[in-house]
Amino acid sequence: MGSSRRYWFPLAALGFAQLIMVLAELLPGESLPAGYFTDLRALPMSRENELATSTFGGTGLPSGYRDLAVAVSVDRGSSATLGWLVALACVVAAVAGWYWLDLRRAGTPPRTGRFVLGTLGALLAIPVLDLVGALQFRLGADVRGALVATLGLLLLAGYERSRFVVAVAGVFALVTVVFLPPVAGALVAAGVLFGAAFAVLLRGPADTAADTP
Amino acid sequence: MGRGSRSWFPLALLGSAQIGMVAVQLVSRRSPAEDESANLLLGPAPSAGAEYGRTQWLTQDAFFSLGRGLPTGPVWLVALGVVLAGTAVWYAAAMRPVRTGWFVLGTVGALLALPLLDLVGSWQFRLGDGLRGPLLATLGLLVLAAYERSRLVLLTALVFAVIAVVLSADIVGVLLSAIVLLAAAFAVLLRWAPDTLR
Repeated sequence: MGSSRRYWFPLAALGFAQLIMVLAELLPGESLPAGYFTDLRALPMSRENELATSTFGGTGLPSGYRDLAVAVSVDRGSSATLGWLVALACVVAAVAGWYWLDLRRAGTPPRTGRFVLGTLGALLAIPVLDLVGALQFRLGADVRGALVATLGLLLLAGYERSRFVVAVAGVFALVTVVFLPPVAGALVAAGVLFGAAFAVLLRGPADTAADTP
Repeated sequence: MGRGSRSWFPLALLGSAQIGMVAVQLVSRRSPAEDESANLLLGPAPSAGAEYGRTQWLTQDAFFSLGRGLPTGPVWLVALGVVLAGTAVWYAAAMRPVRTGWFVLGTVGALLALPLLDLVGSWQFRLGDGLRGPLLATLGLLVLAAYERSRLVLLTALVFAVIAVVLSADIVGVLLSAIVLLAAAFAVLLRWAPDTLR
């Protein structure tokens, strides 16, 4: 059994992380009303004005509300629907641990210093990339998280030299970024990742392939 | 390959079906919100004054957990039917049963028993909509555990029942139990093919 099947674990870990992310978002907590409040006041300022003037023929909103809206909309830039940052950091840490064990088991233990350095670099790169996406490209929080996750999948594909993982990363990016609203998109992407992980596991040993057509 | 290695597929299929259920529910909860905002735009001005129009304008992404969504009972039934049919196909492909007639008969019988048991639970025991589906799924898992004589599947069924029935028969419970099922599927797969660990 070659060591080429070990990358089922990052796929499955990312899938589980997404499920837990959605779970944390769905759980009724004190954070939800706050999120709704900011969304309410912050986003559709121009459309609100339009609505108010067109429907009621008034003079728009009083100026005091405008200040409130601006203040909250600055705050909104950092809040995401899903906790991508924490989830991605956990996934990176788990995957690093997995590869550490796997490389040691395979008889080629990595150099400790470099391995730890690389892991810490990856952990640091997540918030930095997120900030770059926010400040430079002005992307939404959920899009940023999904893009960083896609980048991680592409890195994995490059490391493992697997075209399959490239395809999975493409589908993942399509589902999370393009097609669906963030929460349902994360669920569908988790399904895609689980399917990919099972496919990787099943493609491995020959006797499994014989047993399960 | 051991005998119990086939049982990863029903577990994974049920977990995936539950994820799909939650996704469908979330997406379907979105549509009434859009309808409502459209009504707000196109309909006559409400009598409450300017405050109404301003506070009722919600962005569509913020509307997930409002709205009604699909009815829970039929969604569970459809998901369980799909899982049952998929499992039957999987076992037919993996085992190549000798007596095809009995196999097809058993599958059709199980598919028919599904809505029947649902009706019994609804009328006789007066169980809630969100409760019958997890109970039926637990029953199916117990049957699977008995058939495969697998203690791991039995344990999974118990944990599934505790989470999906006792703790919360809500969308959260569905997601949590899906996580449990998928983890169990990976465990079964890795236990019977330990070489694939690497």
